[in-house]
Amino acid sequence: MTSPASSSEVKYLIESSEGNTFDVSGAALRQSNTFNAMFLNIGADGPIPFTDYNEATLKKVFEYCEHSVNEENYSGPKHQDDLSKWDLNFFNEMDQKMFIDVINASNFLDIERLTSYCCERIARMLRGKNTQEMIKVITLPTAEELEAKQKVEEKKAAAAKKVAEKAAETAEKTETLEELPVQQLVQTTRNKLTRKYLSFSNE
Amino acid sequence: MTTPFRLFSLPYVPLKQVLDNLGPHGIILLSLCSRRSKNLAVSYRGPSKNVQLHLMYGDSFGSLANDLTGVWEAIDIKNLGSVRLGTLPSGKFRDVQYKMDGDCLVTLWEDKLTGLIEIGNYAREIFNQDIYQVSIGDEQAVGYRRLIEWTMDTQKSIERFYFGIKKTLDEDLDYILENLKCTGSLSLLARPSKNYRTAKPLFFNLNVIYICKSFWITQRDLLGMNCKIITMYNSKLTSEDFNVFLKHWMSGGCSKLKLLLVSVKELINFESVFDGVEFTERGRDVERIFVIVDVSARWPSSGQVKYPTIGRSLICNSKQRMRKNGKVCEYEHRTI
Repeated sequence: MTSPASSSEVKYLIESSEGNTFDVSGAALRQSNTFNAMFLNIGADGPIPFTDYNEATLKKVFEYCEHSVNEENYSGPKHQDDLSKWDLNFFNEMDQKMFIDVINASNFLDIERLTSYCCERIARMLRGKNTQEMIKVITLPTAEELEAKQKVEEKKAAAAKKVAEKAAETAEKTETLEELPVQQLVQTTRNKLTRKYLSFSNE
Repeated sequence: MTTPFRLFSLPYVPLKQVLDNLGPHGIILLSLCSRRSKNLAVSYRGPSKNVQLHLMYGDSFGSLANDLTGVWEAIDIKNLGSVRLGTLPSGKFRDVQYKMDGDCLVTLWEDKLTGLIEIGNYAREIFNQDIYQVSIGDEQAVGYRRLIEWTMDTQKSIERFYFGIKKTLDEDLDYILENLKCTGSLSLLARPSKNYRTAKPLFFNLNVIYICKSFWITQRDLLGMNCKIITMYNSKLTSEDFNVFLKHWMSGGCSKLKLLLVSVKELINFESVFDGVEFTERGRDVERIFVIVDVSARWPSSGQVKYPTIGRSLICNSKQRMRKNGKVCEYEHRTI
């Protein structure tokens, strides 16, 4: 942790999943409720490990925090229409993977404003869409896809059943032959003969 | 960003926030996407479920609305002709044809009333609450008894009920009065036969009751109305009836009453109305301020109608009271 004279200029070192470290201002970091709860009072000795998130994601998240340092205190969700040009650019330049990573990191760091904007943005993607369009957006399998998948699974199950039945049949046949070896047959015949003999002698 | 997005991969808090931003329309549509999305919609609690479910049934459509904004409509499939629309993908509405009208989902049914009842059942499940209001509108709303029957079978009572069919069979009005358990506001625009009388004495314990063609309401019925606001037009109640009601109110009857507004065609005889009642006459310069929050009363658009008003009021520039407990009776006679 680097610590210049003024407390507002305190810089913290953040460590990403790659093991890389980079500076974030204390003012930006204080937008994270997780940070506030964990480090604000006790301070951090060495880099703060946010090793569940990669460097690009963390830099993106803290880029937002640095930008919104001087904005008014957060007071609930802001409508997307109120977003500034900078905010819009910030969101537009992210691809889907980065967007999800940013939401996850923002959620972990508990940065209310960023999480809220991201969620509003997702809701905006869904609003006004019909069910088919919604399914495409949230990448749920369609009914046709589910049906096709079910058919494939049914076919697989049927094939597996056939194989199992055949195997059972073969095993049964083998078992029948194996269960009646010659000695056993001889013994059975002998028993029968003995019973006949006994019954005859009794008569 | 309009690329596909794995909604269900979100952690709980962001996912809830997304749903918070979807609103009731979005929650319904999301629930219809898949079994998983339906489970999510059912278990979700938040502002998108702050709704008052309102079922409206008319001659051309049935609709689930929130705050008079259509969320989901049911129309007869025969209105569509030979056009084939897309179908809903999941659950019990699978293969039901639909289209979007703005944010409103419009589904097509062999019988729109059946559709509306299915929609009502589904909405109760998704929003985890009862239907708040049922409105039966146009003259051709066939089979509306089924809607009332379903409402009473599936929930004990209904908060608000609006019946807008004017030409009503006497037995239908009897059916409504006997079977409907309304707890908040009841509006009846029904016009039964001239000689109609209720089969049983009426008793209402409501906030608001509004009866447009109230010629069939008798003194006995009026005494059974313990409501905050009573509004009746086309009444045949007489000055003597009001006198009896006034005395009933003064002795503690109809304790909830704040406003009684009755439109009568016959002239009112004030001597009869106030016969045996102690009262103080006030001039027109006295300011009267009625404090009534929920007023759904409608005013007649035209015609010479005289109506008395009895209510609890705040009266400025006056120290006089009619009752020791602070209740003041303000009797007003207006001609408009």
